[in-house]
Amino acid sequence: MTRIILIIGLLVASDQARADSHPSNMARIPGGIYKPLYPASPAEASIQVAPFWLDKLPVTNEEFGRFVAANPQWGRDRIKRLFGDSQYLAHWSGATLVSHEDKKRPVTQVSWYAARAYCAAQGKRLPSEREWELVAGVGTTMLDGAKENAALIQKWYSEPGNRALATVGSRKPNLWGVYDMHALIWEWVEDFGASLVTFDSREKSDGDRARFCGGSGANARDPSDYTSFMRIAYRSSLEARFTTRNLGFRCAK
Amino acid sequence: MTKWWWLVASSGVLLSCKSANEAPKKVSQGETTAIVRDVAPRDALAAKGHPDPGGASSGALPELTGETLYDIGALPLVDDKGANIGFDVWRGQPVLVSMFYASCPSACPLLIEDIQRIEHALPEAARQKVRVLLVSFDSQRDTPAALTQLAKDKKIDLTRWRLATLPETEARTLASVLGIRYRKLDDGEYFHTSVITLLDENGVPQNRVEGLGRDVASLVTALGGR
Repeated sequence: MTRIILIIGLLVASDQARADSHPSNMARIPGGIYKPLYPASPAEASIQVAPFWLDKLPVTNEEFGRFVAANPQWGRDRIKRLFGDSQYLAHWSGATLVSHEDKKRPVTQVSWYAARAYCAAQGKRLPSEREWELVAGVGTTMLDGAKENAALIQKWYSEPGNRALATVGSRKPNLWGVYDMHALIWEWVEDFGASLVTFDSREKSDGDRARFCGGSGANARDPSDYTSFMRIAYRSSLEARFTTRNLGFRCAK
Repeated sequence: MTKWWWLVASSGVLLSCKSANEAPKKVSQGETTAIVRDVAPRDALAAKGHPDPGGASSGALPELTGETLYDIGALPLVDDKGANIGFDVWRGQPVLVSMFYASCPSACPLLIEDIQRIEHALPEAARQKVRVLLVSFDSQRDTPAALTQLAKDKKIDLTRWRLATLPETEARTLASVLGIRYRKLDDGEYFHTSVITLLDENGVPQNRVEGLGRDVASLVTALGGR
């Protein structure tokens, strides 16, 4: 009997320790099945995603400012052109100067390299595409948020893109406690360029087919799921050094 | 403007590569173009921050910024002898650099042949100066032994070529810098694009060829051939 109590006590303690060992601003994602819009092969129509931690909120200008203060090589005027285009942090008024209004807004005008460096400095990493999409599929009241999210995203598309961004966390979180997966910003993932890559070994010539043949032999899981298509197409059009007004990120672990 | 058409073109390529016997809901290239245009009008995409072509390169490869790649930070390369080498291992010589994986069935042998074609097209003096660095993204399977075997099979001259691997995170970094896209499949194979980049003696990218079996004349010329 005492042994059982001891074991239960240890389990509770270790569980508590695990929960405490992570920063409070990350949500525990239980993992699950992700069904890519364009599976790389029939075997990958369903992908098992292991549990992980994801930032509840996108990284803000304020947070990124603290990172740049500690890592000046990522400053607006110091960054190598290899790592960020000419619009990198263009909305900041100085190396670490962020306007009061921008502090709690998601940081944008950041490149993939900068996002990765930020996450690494926190002991974290960027989420993979499958991890991000798994969380993105969840709704606020139901696990399957496809309909709810599609409606929200369509509304977002119809808004002018130069409107000021909302502050992070201003909307209801999804069932897993994650905020702003939709309708705030596009987000970097670790493998952003990988979605449409396949190789057809018979192709040796002409134009894009030799370079990059997308989805050879693969069906779109649901050709009407254009919000997924748009995200994949958007990500695939990015280069790592790009920055845009509506592209930010969050970290995972 | 250019980036918009790349988006549409890539969706076109996506469909043009599909095989004939598809699921009933096949969407034609024209329809997809229409979907992209109607459902996500250019203004909305551009407004939502689709990358501005004015500020970036015109193709799908990263812009040649004139900066040396030898400054991108420590890359923990391990070569075919198991030695730790730096990415600037060939500093002081022009270098052809690309990425691959050794158990690749078709694309990578072609990549190696393309590089050898470039070498053979050069006059002897130029050929002696050129170095090659091929980096694998498959550090799990591409052990030094595997790389040595590949070099033997493909008759690679290891006095002027170096084969090496990088761990996953750094492989992704280097690929992004070189404009190479890849995807690891669940069975351990890789889908990837092929880009051969010429670095000058200081590691500054000068020229690139994308794809396989392509015309490598530009690289040959850049290296002093005709």
